[in-house]
Order: sequence, then structure tokens, then C-alpha cells
Amino acid sequence: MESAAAPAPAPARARLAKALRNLPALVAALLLVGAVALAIFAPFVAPHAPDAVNLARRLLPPGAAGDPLGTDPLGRDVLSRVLFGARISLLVGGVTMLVAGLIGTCAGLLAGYFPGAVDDILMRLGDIVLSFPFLLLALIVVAALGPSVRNLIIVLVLRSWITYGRVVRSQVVEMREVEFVEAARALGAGHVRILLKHVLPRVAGVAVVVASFNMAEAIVYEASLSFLGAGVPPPTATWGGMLHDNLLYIATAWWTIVFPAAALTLVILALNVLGDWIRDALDPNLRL
Amino acid sequence: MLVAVSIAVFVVARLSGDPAALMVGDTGTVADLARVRHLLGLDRPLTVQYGIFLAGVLHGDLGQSIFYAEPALPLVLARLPATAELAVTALAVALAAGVPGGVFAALNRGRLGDWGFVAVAVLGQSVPGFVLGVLSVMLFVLDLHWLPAAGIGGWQHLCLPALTLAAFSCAKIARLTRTSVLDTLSRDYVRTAYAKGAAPRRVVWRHVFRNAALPVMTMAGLELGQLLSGVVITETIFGWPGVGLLSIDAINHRDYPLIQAVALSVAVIFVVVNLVVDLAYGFVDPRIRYAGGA
Repeated sequence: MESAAAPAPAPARARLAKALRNLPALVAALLLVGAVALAIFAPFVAPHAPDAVNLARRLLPPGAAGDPLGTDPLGRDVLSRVLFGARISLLVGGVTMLVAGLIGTCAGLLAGYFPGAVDDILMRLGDIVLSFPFLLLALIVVAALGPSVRNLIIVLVLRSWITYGRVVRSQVVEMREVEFVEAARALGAGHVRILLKHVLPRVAGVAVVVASFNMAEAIVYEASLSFLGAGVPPPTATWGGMLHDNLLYIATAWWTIVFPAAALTLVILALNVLGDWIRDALDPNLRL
Repeated sequence: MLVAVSIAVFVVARLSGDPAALMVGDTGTVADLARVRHLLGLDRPLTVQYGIFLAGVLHGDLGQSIFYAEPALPLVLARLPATAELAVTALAVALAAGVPGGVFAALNRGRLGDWGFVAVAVLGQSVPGFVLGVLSVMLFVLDLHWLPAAGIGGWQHLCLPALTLAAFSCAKIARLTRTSVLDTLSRDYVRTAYAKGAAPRRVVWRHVFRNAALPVMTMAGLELGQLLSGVVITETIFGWPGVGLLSIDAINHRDYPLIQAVALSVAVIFVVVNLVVDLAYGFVDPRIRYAGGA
């Protein structure tokens, strides 16, 4: 609307503006690929084993020989722990995203396509889960099941599928009355075929956007729970757990806290930037 | 809805383990365990336990806290003001900074100010609350000695926890305000207002802002619920004696009645807040008035 009247900008400037718009997403994507690679190859990249205790080398500041990011109160190498911590964060975030995405998208398809009882039950179920502060719910469930990576993922999926479900449902509801669905129905296509062949491809993009934000959210929750001492149990290296363990040394050993905090923030930032970019590329008017 | 919530609260509290086992400890005998379970009423069928719980809820009685040996609901209510102070301050800060920021960015779309604003907001959304809390303690308490680290007291004590809690919501509200204002700016009625010669300031306030405020209000209501989740972390870091800290206590002690009381209170607050937000629409936007006198 506004661009129709505006004079066309000089081509060079337009190209620069376009490149600048995509630059953050590119950096974010590279950062994520790098993080995944470092996590996978952590055993080869890390200078030490993440749990190798060396009480002779406690609390060394960054730059110490062999421990570029310093050591923690047990003499464990901070760099190695940060690298191995990436494995937990990305594993929890990734698996939660996949499982919740699968369950949530199916739930959304069903709820949107079959109005009435199915829709009501699924959406009320979501309302109930959402009416608790999630962190409280997660703390209780993890306390009950025992802290472990698997149980963390269960709790996170319990919360995450709703987001996919709601977003996909609202898309499907709009689509139900569109011509191509009616046409497919008129041609005698069954419900399953309509859902999988005609509806699913058109909601997949939105689900991908939700997925990237969901992964960021899951990683934050995992780190928060580990920070509260209710996440992945020690001595496994996790970013949230490192902050939990080293909090007592906050005044004397900043490096035991700042590096895992920075790693965590960078990964979340990259996921959010990427999610924004996919959303804008897909449909700038989408509100998620 | 409330019945469903009460069942959920009951089940979730039961999930957290056996308080009798925790009270008896490793040295207790099986007989001790049975006696404690009987005392706490845990040997009755679950349906009976739920019935007792529900009857209590209807009478405003949520049972005795096992650990504190006091009625659970008053314990929660006693902690509520501290949490409310924290959450409401945080929401106020988030709105006071986020809404003008979002409007400013939208009106300067594509310029340097807008870019900087979006960058800061994305960063604000990405820093986890506990990271922000810990880092701000490092900077403002340990390094600069500006503020006290923990406890409750004057505004100095409120400062860090409230800002930490507000950061995420602020970024979210700011970005939503920006998109919402941009969306409204491209509407026909805004073009009409400009075309008839209305002053830009008047157009922004009368036409843009009031229409853009609706999604922001919905979000603010939902954010209050989010903040109630965030307080668990914030209160732990800053030793703020509110409901969040109490809930961690209750979970660690497997204190069923107290967990139930906390969860139920929070869920009720959440539902009420959202109802209030729904009703508040009518005041902002006269087009939405609920039909019927009932």
C-alpha cells in the first residue's frame, strides 16, 4: 500500500537492505549449526573429560594452561563442561520439539477438522495445563518422577504440545470451509487423505515456526529446572546446573557462571532470531 | 472448569511422592509408616481423599500443612502480598517501558531507532530469567555495591527482583505493541484520518493507539500468569519470601496440602485475572460490550 506511491530506492541500497534483513538469520543459523556440531563432537573437541575432578587445579581463572576458560570449584574444566552441556540442552530441546510437535500437530488437525467433542476435549485439556504456572507444575512432576533427562522431556512435552495444537487448530478451522477441501470431499476423498494430503502441507509452515520458538522455550525451562536443582542430576554437565553448582562462588569465580550463561543465551537468541525470520518469510502478518 | 482444575491439583499433588515416607525417614519401621499414613488420612481410598479435599475447598479449608502444622490456606495467603508486590511491580515496569517503546519503534519503522529497539527486545526475550538474575546480582550487588542482594524491605530490595522478572514480559509486550501499531497504521481508517487533515498526534492517539491496545491488553493479562511462573525463579535467587519460595519449600517437604493450596490459589488467581482482562475490553473498546443484562 505505502510502497506503491513511494519512489523505488536505488538498486544497490535495496540490495544492501535486503542483505541486512537476512544477515541476523544467517548468523543465527551458522551459530546453531556450530553449536550442534560442537555438541556432537564434544568428546573430540573438549580438552578434558567434563567430570574429571582435579582438586589440585581448583578455581583457576581463564587462560590457565590446559583450561582456557578456567576451572570450577572441583577443578573441572569449564570449557569442557560448557561443550558437554550443549549436548543436554540441544537433546532436551530437540526431542521435546519433535515429540510435542508431532502430538500437538495431530491434536490440532483433529480438533480443527472435527468440531464438537474432539475439539472440546483437546482444547479444555490444554486450558487446564495452561492454568498452572508451568514451572511449578514441572517442579512437582519432576519431584514425583525423579529428576532425569527422560522425565524432563516428558514434562516439557506435556506443556508444549498445546502451543502447536492451538496454532494448528486455528489454521485448520479457517481451512475447513475452503474450496479445495470441499472439492476433495466431493471427489470422495476420506478424512485421513484430506487431512494428510491437503491440510497438513498447508499448516506445516506454521508448525515449523512454533517449533523453533518451542525449542528455545524447552531449553530455557530445562536450564531453569537444572538451576533450581530439579533438572538433570549432577554430575552431568548442564548449563543451568553449572550456574546452580557455582552460585556459591559467584563473588570470586565469575568465569564458572558467565560462560555457561553466555552459551545458553546465545543458543536461545539464535533460535528466536531464526524463528522470527521463518515467520516473517512465511507470512509477515502471522502473530505467534 | 474449576472442578477439572481441582482434580488436576489433587492428582498433581499426589504425584509428588509419599510424605509419610519422608517423615518417617530411613530409620522408621513399616508400622511407623502405616501409623503416619493413617494419621494423615493417606490410607483411605483416593476417591475418599478427593471428596474430603473438595468438601474442604468449598468451605475454604484446604487442610493442614504437614510440615508447618498450620492450616495451609492462611500460609499461602500470608505469602501472597509479597508475590503480588513483585509481580504487579514487574508488570507495571514491563508496560511502562514496553508500550511507549513499541509505539516509538513502530512510528520510526525501518530507521536506526527501530532496528536498535528490535535488537534489544529480541535479546531481552532470549536471556533466561535466572541468568539475568544471577548476572545482575554479580554486577549491581557484588561489583558496584548499589543494591542489597536478598530479602524484602524498601524499594532497593524490590529493584532487582522486579526488573529481572519484568525483562522478558517487557520485551514481549514491546514487540507486540510494535507489530500491533504497525498493523493499525496500515488500516483504511487511519489513512482517512490523515486525509481529512487530522494532526498526526491526534491520529496516533485517537485512532491508532486505542485500536492497537487490544492485543497488548490480552497479552498483559496472560503475562501476569507467566510472571507467576517466573516468581519461582526470581524469589529463589533473591530470597523473596513469597508464594514461589513457599512452593519450593512445599515440594521439597512433599507437603500435599500445602502444594494443593499453592496450586489451587495460583490457578484461581490466573483464571480471575483473565476474566478481569476480558471484562476490561469493554472499557477500552466500546464495540465489544457483552450482550444481555445478565
